[in-house]
Amino acid sequence: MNAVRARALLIGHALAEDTSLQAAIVAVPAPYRMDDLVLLQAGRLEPALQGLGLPAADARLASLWPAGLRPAQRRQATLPSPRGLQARLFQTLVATGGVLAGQLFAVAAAGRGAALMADLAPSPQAFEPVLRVLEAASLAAGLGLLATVVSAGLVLLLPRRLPAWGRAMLRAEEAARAGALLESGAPPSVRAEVARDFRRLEQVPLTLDELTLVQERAVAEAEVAQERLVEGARAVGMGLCVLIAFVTTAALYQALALVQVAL
Amino acid sequence: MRLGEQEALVLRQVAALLRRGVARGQAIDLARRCVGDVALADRLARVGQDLAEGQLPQGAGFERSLAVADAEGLERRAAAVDATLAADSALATVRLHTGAAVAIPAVLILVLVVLSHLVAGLTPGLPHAQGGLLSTLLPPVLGAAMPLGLGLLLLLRLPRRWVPAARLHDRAAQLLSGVDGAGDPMPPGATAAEQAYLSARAPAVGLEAAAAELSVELSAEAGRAGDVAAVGLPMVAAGLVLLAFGGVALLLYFPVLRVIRMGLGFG
Repeated sequence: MNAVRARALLIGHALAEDTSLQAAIVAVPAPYRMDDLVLLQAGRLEPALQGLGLPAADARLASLWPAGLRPAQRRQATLPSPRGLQARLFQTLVATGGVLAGQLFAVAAAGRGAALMADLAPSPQAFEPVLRVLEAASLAAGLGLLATVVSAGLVLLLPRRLPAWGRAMLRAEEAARAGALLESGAPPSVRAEVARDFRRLEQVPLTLDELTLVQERAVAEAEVAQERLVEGARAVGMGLCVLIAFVTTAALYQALALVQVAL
Repeated sequence: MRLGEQEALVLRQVAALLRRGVARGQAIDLARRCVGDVALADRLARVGQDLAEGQLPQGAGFERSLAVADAEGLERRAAAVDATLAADSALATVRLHTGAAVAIPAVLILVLVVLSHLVAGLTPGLPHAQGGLLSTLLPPVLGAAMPLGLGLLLLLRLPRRWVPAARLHDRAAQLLSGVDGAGDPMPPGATAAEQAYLSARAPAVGLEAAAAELSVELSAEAGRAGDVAAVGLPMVAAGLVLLAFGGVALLLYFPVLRVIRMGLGFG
């Protein structure tokens, strides 16, 4: 557990038990900005908590209904982390990138071999088609490698923008926050205020059981989306590698036949 | 079912029976009848016998907890056993994946090297090139055998401290068993933030409850870390092996090409 998480948990406990927030903040031996303490003393909970490392949505919830923060943290701790998805997608992309890099290396080596054969042949121009095929193959593998690197960057930097998975996780987080408010006895006006920020949970269920079900269903949807994303990335990545290899082999076969005719 | 899982089940059964007002000796006897493992059933029978004779089992292990702990203590002990088992599982998964990630590329490279050697042997008109390839066969084969051995070593002996999920589960287990007197509640390797959390929460809710809260957090964190470790460590290991072979291949590529050119009279 790192200092930010420990401090966030202690703040959640302090708000739920109505004990000193300042004591909770200074209990963790990690630096904090004095500005945040000043904001806290001035009663501006939302910016102070954001400055102390709490997610913006949690800080807003705590500013509207302080007792709801701890149940929200407890519920959110059960949600799957983006790191699991990132790790599996990144693994697939690295494998695809590795195969494409291997293809580039193989095509470059074949190009050297073809150049050597052209030197040996009575008419070096006869090897032109082979060299053109190898150039096209290296271009295709290079573009594939570039696309893989860009995808890996997107997966690392913007996991929540991933289709289906991001939407389901957002719904699960919103259901967790709505459930935390109900669990901590927030009045309907506060619940309505928090629900106004929801983007995926259009109709907030009125009972805790229903909200828990919505959260569990969203998590299940996220898990299905994760499997689909990983399998899709594998299929597309490996499909691309196989396609490049197949087309290169077929074109090389044809080009070598032309070389044979020319010689 | 593993022994640890059976022990956790027994602890939870006895805790549930104690909550229902069943006497401890009778609860242990009832749990013993549900146990499939003969050795564990014998241990439970001995605990029951000790209790009947007014003796307490020595040490701070499973038997001692059964004999003295209240329902909450038994459940904490069961959660500690669960955390230890989860640490073992996380470690085994990472060991398997990392060992395979090192060994599989090594095997593939070995096959490629042998195949290329066979193809070179079949190619006519490359007498010097064959010699060159022969001389280059030995280092890659030896080079592939080394990661293969390393893969097996990682599979069997990857240190626990390299697996964050296992470390976190271990800390959770030690926290839970530590508060019941089976050791220091603050596990070795605990971060300053964890120590601060326990110190801040213990006066408010008691050491047991604070340790239980922290262990839940650590287990949740371990669950998240487990995915990354099971993917990340094998990737790094396989990447290093491939990088090493790629480097060797690049180093050998130009000398071999020169040998072939010389063999073909292009000196």
